[in-house]
Amino acid sequence: MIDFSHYADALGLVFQFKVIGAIAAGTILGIIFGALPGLTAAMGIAVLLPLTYDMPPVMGFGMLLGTYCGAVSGGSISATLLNIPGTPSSVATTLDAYPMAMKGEAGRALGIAIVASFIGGIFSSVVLSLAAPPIAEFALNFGAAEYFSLAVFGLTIIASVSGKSMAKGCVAGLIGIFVSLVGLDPTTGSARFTFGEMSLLSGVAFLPALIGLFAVGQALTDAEETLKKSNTKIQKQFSSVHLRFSTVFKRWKTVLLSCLVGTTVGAIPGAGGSVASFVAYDQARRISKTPEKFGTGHDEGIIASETSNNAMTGGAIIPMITLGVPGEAAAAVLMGGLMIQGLRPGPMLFTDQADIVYGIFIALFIANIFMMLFQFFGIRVFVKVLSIPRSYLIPIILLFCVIGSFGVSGNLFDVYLLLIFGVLGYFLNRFGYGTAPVVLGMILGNVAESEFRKGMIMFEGDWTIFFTRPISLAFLACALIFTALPLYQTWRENRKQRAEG
Amino acid sequence: MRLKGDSLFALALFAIFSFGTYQSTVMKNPSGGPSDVGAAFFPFWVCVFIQVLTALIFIQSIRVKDSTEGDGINLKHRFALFAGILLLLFLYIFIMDSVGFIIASILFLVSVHQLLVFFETGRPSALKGLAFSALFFSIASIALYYLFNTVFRLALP
Repeated sequence: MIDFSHYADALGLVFQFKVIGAIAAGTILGIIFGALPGLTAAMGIAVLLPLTYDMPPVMGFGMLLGTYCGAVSGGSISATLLNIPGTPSSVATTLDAYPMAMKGEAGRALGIAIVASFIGGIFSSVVLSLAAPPIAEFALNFGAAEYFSLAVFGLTIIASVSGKSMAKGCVAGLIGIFVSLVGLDPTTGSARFTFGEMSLLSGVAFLPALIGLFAVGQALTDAEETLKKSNTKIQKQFSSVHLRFSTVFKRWKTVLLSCLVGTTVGAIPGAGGSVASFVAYDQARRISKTPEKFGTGHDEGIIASETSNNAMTGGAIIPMITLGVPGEAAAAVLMGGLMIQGLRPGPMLFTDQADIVYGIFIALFIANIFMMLFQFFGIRVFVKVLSIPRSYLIPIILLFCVIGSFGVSGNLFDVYLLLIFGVLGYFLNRFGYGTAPVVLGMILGNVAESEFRKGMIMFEGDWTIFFTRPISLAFLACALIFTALPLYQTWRENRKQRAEG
Repeated sequence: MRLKGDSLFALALFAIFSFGTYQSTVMKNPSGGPSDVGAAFFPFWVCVFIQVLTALIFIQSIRVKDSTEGDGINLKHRFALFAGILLLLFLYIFIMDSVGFIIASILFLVSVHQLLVFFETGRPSALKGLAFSALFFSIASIALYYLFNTVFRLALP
């Protein structure tokens, strides 16, 4: 259960000038990453990961949380002014924020979006701090069989929702598992796929792989945008931005519904912010007294989308921090942030490093406050950022990636790994495989293998233990359902199309 | 038959993981106990599953129109830009150890910038633009070196 004495210890870790400064800096960079179309929250976190290597855990992770919150909310800036979502989670925001901006009310749209994001973020921080400790306590009962089944569940669910097709998502997840198997086998010490390279004996370095997949791959994709002739114009003229608390609170039913939808969808591994915002948008339209106004520049549309996508942030952290299964792509990279600090996400983190965990909860709360304040006071600066040419941004991002990979280990081999994973990430994105399943495979592949083998050794080769222990069976059943559901939906759609055609 | 990018990528993955399957059959396979499945069990099955799935994707891709090739970008330009940036990245890493971080970074940043400007506008930067980018990226490189080396204590060449 929640032990409030941990908060007292955690407050001391968070309320230091350096830590608060790091959260603030992370939030500002996150808003910039979110505002710029093409630069995602996951990319922002991946680029900043190396900076946190030398920081104390709460400071480093707080900075990354700031980036996460800032990026998810910052997506609304370009959604409002350019009709281009800065991040996938703000796609639904464009439906009403841009029409409102076209009516000359861009300031109003941004004011609503900032307040809605803040409320969603704070709600999810509270849910995270209340829900995570009991879940972690429950997970303490897990043994080898449960962990194996949980890993299978995590892999199945993300493979089924990532990418354009289930098969491609599965391939990406399996590539991640394959990467996790490179190096010395933890059970027997036998070398696997090292090809005589000493640097591979300890496995593929996580940080260069992560930066390569999410930052270099994305930067190479973004570079291609320069080949497109764009006629997009920024709606620079807007009235002053006021924080529209009264407007948002008048729609309290929409706010509450979107908070619940966002946090719940966020907690389902693999769903992500775009799903959260569209589900909330759709539900808000259903309960609205004026559903016909949705899509024409309606307050409720912006509130639903922005509240839910920021409510998703805390939700996505719940399975990541309690079970080691990230809720979405950015949470997977965040998990990397914990791992490079030497912390292993999972229930033991709550018993061994409770002050750090509670510090993280407080840091998320502070990041949401900063996110609102910085966007409100600095909105004109962030709008100017939209004008920075890609030809200046992309080289700087690539440089950050190289510095990050080289600087942490001081090993050039890691930079070549960065290039390999960058190219892999580029092709995986281009052909619709997705990069999130690769990272999840890298994280869960090891868990799945070691727990499966541990279980087999402990129970003398009796593989039925994975099906006879109730929690393990429940995870495997969920894995089966989440695999079968998309297959069934595809089959049903095909049958419908055939019937119509 | 002319293969599309999607098909070629699936084929490349199939080939790579066929090699992986072969490697996992010839690698040492010690086990941690009588009921342990051994060190090669997971690698073998992971590679086999990837082979099966990529074969399926390949078959599907040659039957379906590739949407990624219809986004209005000239394929030759796309490849040239991709290869150009990769080559510059490779050269950057290669020379960084010998000429040092700051000079290598300035050369890399200016080159990538010029490459992007060339593909965006269809012509190289004017002298004024080149001078501005050289100045901008020189300041950026020195600032980043100071930030990472001094503030964040990361070891840079």
